[in-house]
Formats: sequence, structure tokens, C-alpha cells
Amino acid sequence: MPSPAERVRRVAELVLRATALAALAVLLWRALRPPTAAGVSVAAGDLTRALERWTLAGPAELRVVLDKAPDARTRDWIRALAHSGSQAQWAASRPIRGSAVIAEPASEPSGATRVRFAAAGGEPVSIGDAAGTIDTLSRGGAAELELASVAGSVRASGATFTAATAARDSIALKPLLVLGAAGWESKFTIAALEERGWRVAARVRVAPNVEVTQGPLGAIDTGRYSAVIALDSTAASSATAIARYAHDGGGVILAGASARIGGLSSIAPGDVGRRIAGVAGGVTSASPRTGLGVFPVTSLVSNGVALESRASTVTVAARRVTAGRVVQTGYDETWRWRMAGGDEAAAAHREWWSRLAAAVAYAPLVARVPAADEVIDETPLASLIDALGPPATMDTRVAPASDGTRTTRFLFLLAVGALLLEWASRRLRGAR
Amino acid sequence: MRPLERVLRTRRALATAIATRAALWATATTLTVGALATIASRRTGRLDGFAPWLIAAVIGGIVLVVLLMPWRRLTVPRVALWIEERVPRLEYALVTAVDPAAERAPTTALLEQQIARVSWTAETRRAVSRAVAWPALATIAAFGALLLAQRVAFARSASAPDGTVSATSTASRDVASPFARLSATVRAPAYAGGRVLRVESPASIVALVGSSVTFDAPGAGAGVTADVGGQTLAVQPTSGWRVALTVGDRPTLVRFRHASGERIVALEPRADSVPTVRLLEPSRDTVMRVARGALSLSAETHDDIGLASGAFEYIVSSGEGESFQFRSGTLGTRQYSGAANGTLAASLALDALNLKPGDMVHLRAVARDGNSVSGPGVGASETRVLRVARAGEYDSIAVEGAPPPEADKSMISERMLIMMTEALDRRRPTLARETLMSESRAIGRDQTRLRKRVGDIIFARLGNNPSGEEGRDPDDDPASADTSVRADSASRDAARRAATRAGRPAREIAAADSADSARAALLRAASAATGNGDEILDFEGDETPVVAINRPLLEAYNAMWEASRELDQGETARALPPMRRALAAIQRARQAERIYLRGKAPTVVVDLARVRLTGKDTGAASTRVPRQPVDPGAARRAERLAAAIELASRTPAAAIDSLVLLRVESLDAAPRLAAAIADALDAMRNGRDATTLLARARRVADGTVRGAGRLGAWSGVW
Amino acid sequence: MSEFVFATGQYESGDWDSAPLVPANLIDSLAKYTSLPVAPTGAIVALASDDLFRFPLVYLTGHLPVRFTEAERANVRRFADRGGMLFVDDHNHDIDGAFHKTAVEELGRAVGKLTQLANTHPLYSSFFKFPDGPPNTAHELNGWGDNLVHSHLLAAMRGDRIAVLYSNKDYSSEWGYHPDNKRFLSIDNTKFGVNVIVYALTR
Repeated sequence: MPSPAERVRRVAELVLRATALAALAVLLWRALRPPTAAGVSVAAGDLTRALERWTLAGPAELRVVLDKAPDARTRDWIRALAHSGSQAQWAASRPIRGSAVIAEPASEPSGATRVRFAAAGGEPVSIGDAAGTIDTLSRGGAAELELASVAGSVRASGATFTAATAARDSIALKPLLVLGAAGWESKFTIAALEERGWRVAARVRVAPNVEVTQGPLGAIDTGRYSAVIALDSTAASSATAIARYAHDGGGVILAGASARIGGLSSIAPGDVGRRIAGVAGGVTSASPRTGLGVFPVTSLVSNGVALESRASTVTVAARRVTAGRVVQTGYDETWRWRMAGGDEAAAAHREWWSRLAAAVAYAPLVARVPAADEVIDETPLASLIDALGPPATMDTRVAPASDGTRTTRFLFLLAVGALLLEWASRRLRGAR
Repeated sequence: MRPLERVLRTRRALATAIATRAALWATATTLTVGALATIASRRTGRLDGFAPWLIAAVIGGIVLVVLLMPWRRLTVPRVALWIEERVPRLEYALVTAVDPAAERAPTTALLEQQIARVSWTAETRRAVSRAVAWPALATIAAFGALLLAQRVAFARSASAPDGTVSATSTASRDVASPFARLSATVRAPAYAGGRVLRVESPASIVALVGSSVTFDAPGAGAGVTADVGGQTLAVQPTSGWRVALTVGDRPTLVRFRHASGERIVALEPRADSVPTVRLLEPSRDTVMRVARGALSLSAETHDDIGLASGAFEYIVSSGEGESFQFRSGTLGTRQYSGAANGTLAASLALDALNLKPGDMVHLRAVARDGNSVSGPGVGASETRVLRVARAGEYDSIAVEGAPPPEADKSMISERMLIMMTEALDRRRPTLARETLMSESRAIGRDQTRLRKRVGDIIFARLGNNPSGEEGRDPDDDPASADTSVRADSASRDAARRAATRAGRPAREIAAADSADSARAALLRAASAATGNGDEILDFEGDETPVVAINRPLLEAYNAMWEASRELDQGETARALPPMRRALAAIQRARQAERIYLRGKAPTVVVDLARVRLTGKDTGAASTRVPRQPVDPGAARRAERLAAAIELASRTPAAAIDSLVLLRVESLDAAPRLAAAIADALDAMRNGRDATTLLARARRVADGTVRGAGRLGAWSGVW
Repeated sequence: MSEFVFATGQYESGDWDSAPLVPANLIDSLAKYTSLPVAPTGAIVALASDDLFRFPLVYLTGHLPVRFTEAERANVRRFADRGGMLFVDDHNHDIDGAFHKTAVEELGRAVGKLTQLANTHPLYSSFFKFPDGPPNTAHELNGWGDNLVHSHLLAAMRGDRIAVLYSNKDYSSEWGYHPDNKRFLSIDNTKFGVNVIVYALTR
């Protein structure tokens, strides 16, 4: 006669057996049941599973609640479902910030990449690539970075978006043409540009009819030079050609007082003011150019842009001239910065001159096919709106959709566990 | 409870014990085998990742099955017998009671009563405890062994105490068997002590230039090739195989290749520094009047490895103008026999050098180290200069810091007198006559003293007694009248004297006469020297240095005399012009003096406007060759680093190899980058998170990220 | 545009000012043959001073031993690294002399080993043509010094640029006269000096 304990035990075994069978039955039913044909509201967290289901089921209406801008693959998938007959709507559970990022090659021989980024709102943004974080903007906003190297795509990630881009172009740089008289300024300017990797053609006058020349010298046109640098009045003989070159799209740098040359003053961003001496000892300070003499840029033209200033005077200015660009730098004897500056002065001098050249260089873009692993999604929110339309007005408070996987796992474990426990109990009490 | 039920309960307990024991033993076996297999796989490189644990699980399963087999023999009779063995009091009543054949026997009740009086719970518990105790302990021990196996440091780092050799080993990721047990023996050069260091599984070796490195590994070495910097190395068969090389002066990679894979080892040479030498005595340059006696010399030296010798070196320069002779020598030579620190001491006998006025001795201490590979390295101290002054020359060879010559002092004083006179002249309208006279005469007395000093200078240069004129101060008692012929000075001097005499006390007149006579004597002497009259003298460019230096001073002297006279009369306004003339003359004398003493010609100022482009010849155009970029590999290094960082998230082993290559190539061109990569490699090899270090290395490679917190109206970062 | 200033280097150990007329003579020649703005007088700059970096071409000469102080050595090294050029001339023209031996040692320590400069180097064609290399001087065989004609100049390079140009040919004596006396010479012997300056200004 079984004892009460044994009876309880047998009942428990029965319950376990029933539980296991029930779990198995539910699993079977879930596997065999037809997919729902009604519209489903899904939060962004499990879009992938939902998308897979919808692809098979083809619901009449899709409602997607997003907490961040989806990536391009997800977005395209939803759009494809929408185009295949389902009516797709989306809403944001929290404000999704508009953002944009673009990468293009910097016009320098070093192969740097220039990244421009902008985002609405003030949330922190992290900018990085496949090799890690490069920079962080604590309050978002806009930024422009020059990156010496980029691995894969450049990503700008905020709380509600991830914008990605890759440089899809390269540039064709031609030599720079430097015109000046023999002297320390021409020597060290040419040296700085060459040491930064620029190819330089030069005409340096030593005496009447005696020049030191270098590189391909010919007509000044955009097919031959990326930019022309006029260091002093020796460029006067080529003033007309330089002005025409600028109008045709070439880049021109007017250094020191060369903007006074007749023929070049028409393309200069401003007039040349009276020379202001540099601050004594300034070349060794944290702002070394304060130690240089400068011919300030005055009377800036209407489309002139002040790039650098010292106190209230503009020291470097730029303007566009028809298709070309002109930079006027009033700094005089920049070679003193390289020679008398601090330990990093030579490198900084090189970089500064290279940046000037890059700011104006005529460098046509050459398209290239992005690599397969380069993700490009430059404007996530705009692309989402473009794909699915503006956000719909709907209740965004939805419970997270049940992920069938989790339920299935649970039921399976329940069945197995119940069976095992039932078997163990039977065996332990001696039953078979 | 009936006996059968009790037996069944005991049976369940025993079954649980068997199952538990089997599980524990299986677990212990699995853990132990897994630990051993992990160690063995890392050492031999034969197994990797999942394989050791698969083997352990199989063995554990076998143990589990074997130890569960007794469970099948747990029948009721056996259990009853088992109980009977442990509880003799039952006297086999239990076995009988559970026998199915005796279920309805009349003795069943008696047996049940007897059995009911006996309990075997304690025995059962003891049996169960014994069954599971040892397996439980074994399981704990096996778990500990597993932890120990996983914590064995496969990455070892060894460094010799003197830093001549250091090496980094790496966990052998290499699957290629020939390199699995690669080791290196590094022997420092003989001059550095010849220390030997053995390194197992080296990844990089830092050693002195000239060190010998021998790589060896067990096995036949068939199919193994090795090269360094593109040059093939011979693979020598020994008890295994061996490759030997010498550390050069450039960082390089040793590559071992085999059909099954490749292994690289970085060689970083450490250069032997030259000795540092500090000259203690003499402590500064010296100018002597006469070179006599002995000069004490002392110095201290230091070398990073060991000094060989040291000595003092001197060069004696004699001559002037275009003709010089030189003698050199050494003294105080000392041998150090490899000591790291040393001293030098000697005495320079100046008499023996036979130095003459104008001679110079350049002295320094020099030390050599024992570098027999690329040296010896020679270090030298600062140089001291010992100079013997020329006759009559008191200036210093130092260009700056020399005390101002007498003429300079005169200029300063004359300037001060002018200022005082000007100030007095401005106050003149407000002063009483007596006050004005008193102050004016005080300035006059100072002027006179100054004139005396100038006179001394002139006399000294003319070779006369410097106290020719002013043997006394103007305030002293007047000298006896000098009836010698007075120089017939210019008419204004006569007028001046007359004016001076008018209304003056005799004492003052006598003093003035005395001054006049001295002045006259001075003027006569000057005239004799210059051959000119005693008018105010002008300096002319082609005159001899004697004239050049004295003319202005004589003019100053004259003007000062005139000024003194006016000041004595209270005529401050009339005193100022001659005072200013005196100042100008002293300035001219100062320049002339400088030119003379230093032997330099006057500065020639080129008339550019006159000579511009007047050359008969013209130059020719020429072409310039472009400069090379400063660091053409920088961009490529940055790209490779970024690629390696990206690879690290997928294949850490491959990333480590890439970084090792990049580091060695950066040692020369970008040492900061090499150091940053080394830090990251160290973290990666030791299983630490290297994210921050890799990011730092990237910042070093890329340079500062140029950024602007806005989008400007012009492209580019400004 | 800044004018070129001819600078004479002043060092502590010897007679740095042994050729005071060379600056004026070369300034005169530069003005004669080129249109480059140039200061009418030279400047003197101490090697240990920060003012050294105001003059990217510096002339050094002397008879006596050259022993740089630590400050002079560090300055000269930095000067060469940044693009400056030293023109050093042995006023003794004696390769066995103390100036040559010590100057070569000190320049080697500060800048780098001095090696022979090929006579086809662009220096010899930077303005006037010297197809045979450095022009000889009237002093090389004057009985003083080593009495040798030195066929090459020595140089320490920075990349492919001359950082130190070293001469044993005694240009200091050759050019050490008042520029007005050039009119008495049938051949202007300072042309090579113009080459040195133009090379420094253009390469």
C-alpha cells in the first residue's frame, strides 16, 4: 500500500509528466500555427526577428516604434516590406536627432581625410572608425576633423543615431608653383612644402635674367598646377596669368605684400595694410605667429572670409574668385618661425604652409568604389524619412514583442526538466 | 515502516551516493585531464582551444559510466545483505524478511518486530559520507589544478641586471612545430663582460650592438629557413637546429620560415654611449700676465659600460696675425680597466711649456671606453683656455663682460656731469648767487678730476709718467710756479686765462697757472707725438693707431679744461657746449680704442647703390633639385597601425605580429611610435585590455587630430 | 622682403674675427652681381646665442683651435637641423693645423661627419660656373700652412642639403681685402662667395 508520501510523490510525477507533455504540445502548436495576419507594433529592440517574421507572413500593416535611427540594412528591409504590399508606419519612442557626416580627401599629399559632421541637439557624439574612437564631442553640434588615417568607415555615434561614411573619392594633386626672389622666405617656404610631400615647381629670381628654376615650368593653368604661390613682387610679371588662372579654378596664395601687385589686387581678398611688427619673442610662444611681422588684410571684400586674426587685424583671409580660390596671408618672413621657434617649429611651419596650399589647391576628385566592408549611411534620420515617410502619430508605449525564441527555449527546458525530474523520481523510488 | 520499505529507502540512499560519487569523480577527472591537456597543448602547440576539453570530457564520461555501473547491482537482496554486514544484530533477519518467498511466512511478523528494533541509519550515513567525501575533495583539488594551469605565465620577460640584454617571450601561438620551443642565447660583447642570457620563446631581444645571438630549437630543422634584413642565415644542425647572428646597429627582424608557418623575432640594438667627462679644474678660462708655476688639472669621467682610458689634452697656440704655430700634448693618462666611473688628475707645468705673451693653451679632458665593436667611444669635457696677456694689454679675450676701459668710465662720468650742469642751469633763475656758485664749483671740481684721469690715460699711452700734470688735486696746495715756457695756445686760451685771472684770488690764479703749465706740458707732449698744433684735433682715418687713440682724448682734455673754467665762474650755460664736445670726443676715443686693441679694421659699409649690378660678369640660371619629404613613411605607418588595430578585434594573434613588424620598422624613424606600440604589445601579450594603449599609439602615429568645433565657411581646419 | 645679412659667427675659443673684411667684400660682390636685397654691413652673432637663428647663413673662420662649449654645440646642431648653413674656412689653410683638426672634430660632433663634396655638386653652378670645383686661392701655396692645393671642400649634409661647408683653401685670406680694391684685380676672386650665398638662399 503506498504511503501518503509515496502517493504525493506519484502525483508529483504525474504533474511533471503532464507539464512536460503540455510544454511539448505548446511547442508543437507554436510551430504549426499560422503566422498572424494582423498589423503588429514592434519596438526597435527586436526588429530583426520581427522583420524575419514579417517577411514570411506579409502582414497588412507594420508599425515600428524606434528609439534610434535604424541602420541602412534595417531601413531598406522595412522599405522593401512596405513596397511589397504592407503599409509601414514608424514612430520614435524618444526624439531621434538629425545628423549628417561626410568624409572627403583633404587636398594634401599626406592622404589625410577630412570629416565634417553635424547633429541637432546637444547629446554627446563619439567619432571613430573601425580601429576605435578618434574624438568625442561632449555637446554634439558640428565639427570638422582632419584624420591622418582612417580604418574602414568613419562613424559618428550618438544616443539616437549612428551615421557612417567612407571617403569615396581620391584627389589628383598637381605641383605647386612658387614665384619669388631668392631669399630666406622663398627657400624655407619651398622647403616646407616639399618636406610635407608637395611637388613644387619654382621660379626664384636671383638677378635680372638669372633665375633658379625647378619642376615643370610652363603656362600657368589648372592642367599644370594645383596652386600658385606669390611670395613677393617678382610675381608681377605673371600677374595677369595668375588672375586668369584663379578665375579658371586654380588656387592662389598671395603672401606678404604681394597682394599689392597690380593685377593681383583684383583677386585678393583684401587690401594690404601697413606692416605691424611681431611681438618680441613671440615665435617661441604657444602662438608663434604672433612673433612674425604682418601686413594686415584690410577692407575685406564682400565674399572674403577671415581665416586668422591677431587682435583686431585679419592676418589670413580667403575668397572665391569665380571657380578658383585665393588666400591672402599677410605674415612676413615666416621663415623666422621655423628657424627661431621652439622644438616643433619646423614641423608646425611645414604644416601651416601645407594647410594654406590645401585650402586653395585645385584638386579634382576621382571617384572610387567603396570597399565591401565600408558602411555608408551619412544621414540616418533623413534617409529614414526618405524611405518611410515622416513619423506617424501613434501610441509608442508598446510592450516589447515576445521573442519567440525565448518562449521556445523556456518551453523546451521546461519539458526536458520535467521529464528528467519525473524519471529520476521514478527510478529513485524503484519504479521503472 | 516495513522492512522492505526500509530496505528500499536504504537502497535509494546508496543509489544517490553512487551517483554522486560517480559524478564527483567524473568531474574531478574531467578537470584534471583538462588542466593537464591545456598545459600540454600550450607547451607543445599540438592541441588548441577546444581539443583539450573534448578529451577531458570523454575521459570524464568514461569514468562516470564505469562508476555508475554498481548502481545496476543495487537489488533489494544485495542491499539487505549490505545492511546485514554492517548491522550484525539483525542476524540475517532482514535478508529473510525481504525475500519474496518469505512474504507470507508465519515468522514474518516476528522478523518485522526484530527488525523494527534495529536501526541502520547511522551506518548508511557513514557509508554515504565515505563514498562522497574523497570524490568531493578530489573535485576541489582538480578545480584548483585547473586554475593553476590557466594562470601559468607563458609570457615571461627577462632582463639582465645591467640592461645589456632584455627579451620578451610570447605565448607560443605558433602552430609550426619547428618553432614551438624556440629559445635564444644572447652573449654580450667581450668588452661589456660577455654576459649570457637565455630566453625561452623570444618575441623581441634588446641587446648591445655586437652581441651574439644564437637561436636553437629541438628537432631536425628540416625545411627551416631564416633570414635577417633580407640576408639568409645558415641553419646549422646540432642536437636540434641552430641559427647564429650578431646584433647590428639597426633594428631588424629575424624571420624563421617553415612550410607550417612563420615566426618573427625583433632585434633591437642598444648603442654604447660615449663616456661623459667633466673638467673640474681649472673651472674657468684664465688670463695670466706671466706663465709660471703649475696648473692643477682634475676631471671626472663616467661610462655606461666601462671606461678604458682617460687623459688631459692641450694645444698651445703661438703667434699672431697670419702666422701661428701649434704644439699639442697629453698628460695624466690613466687606464681604467672597465670601471664605470673614474677620475683624472694632473699638473700642467707652465714653465715647461715655455709660454710667451699672446700664447694660448686650450685644455680639455678626454676619456675613451672599451667599445671594441664600433668604437672606442670618445667623450670630451668642455675646453678651458689659458691665455698669456700681451705686454701692455689688459683686456680680456672675452668679448662680453670685459670691464669698461678707462675711456668708458670717463664717458659715463662726463655724461653725469653734463646732466648735473643742465639741471643746475635750469634751476639757475631760482637760486641765490652763492648757492649757484657753490654748486657750480663743485661740478667744476669733478670736471677737473675727470680731466686728470683723461690726462693719466694719455700720459700712460705716450709712455710718460701718468702723473705728469695732475700730481695734485685742484684742492691741494698750489704747486710752485712753473716758469717753463708755456705753450702759446690759441687766442681764446689767452683770453680765457685773462678772464680767469680777473677778480680771482691769488691762490686760484696760482692753481690755474699750475694747471696751465701742466696742460701746456701735456699739449707739448701730444704735439710731439702727433706732430700737430694744439688746436682741437680731428681724427682721420689713415692715421696711426697712436694718433687715432689720443687725438680724441686730447680734444676731450681741452674741452674739459674749458668747461672747468666756466663752471668755476658759475657760467653753467657756457660750460655745457665744451662738456658736450668732451663727451663726443671720448666716444670717438672709445671706438678708436676698441678698433686698435682688437686688431680689427674699421667696419666697412658697402655703398650698395653705387655697386648694385655693376659686375662685369653675370651669373647663369640653374636648376634646383626638390627636397625629399621629411618622413615619407609616416602616412603608411599610420595606415598600417589603424589596420592592425582593426585586426586586433578579430584576430589578436595576427594583430600582434603586424604590430611587432611595425614597431621594429618604426624604431629608427619614429621612436615615440615604437615605444607606444611596445606598451600596447606588452598588454596584449599579457592578456590585458590594450584599447587605451592602442588609441595612444594611434594618436602618436596620426599626430594631433586637427579639429574645429564648428563648420566654417571655408574648408580646412582653421 | 627681408634683406640678406651676412653674419660672422663668434665662438669663444679662438680668433673668430680674424677676417673682418670678408663680410664687406662678399656683400659688395652680392650687390654687384645680383638684385638681392642685402644689408650694407655684416652682423656678428655668437654661436651660443639665440640670435644665431636670425641668420640662416653664418661664416666661421679663425687660426686658433675651435672648441665649442656645450651651448655652442647644441645651438649649432639645432641650427643645422632647422635648415641653417655654416660656411667654415680654415684661415691657416693647414690640414695639420689646430684649427682644422679641432674644427673638424667639433663640427663632426655637433652636426655630422664632414665628407668630401663632389666637385660636380650644384654649389659650383648655383650662380657662376666652376666646372673644376672650388677655385684655388693665392694663399694655398704661399709657403705658410700645409702648402697644398685642396681639390675638394668638405661638407656635412642634412638630407641632400649642405648644412656645413668646410674649406681648407683659406678664402678668408683670399677675400680679406677692402671691396674698393677689387678694381685692381683682373679677375674677381670673390665669385665663389656669391655661389655660396646664392646656394644657401635658394636650396
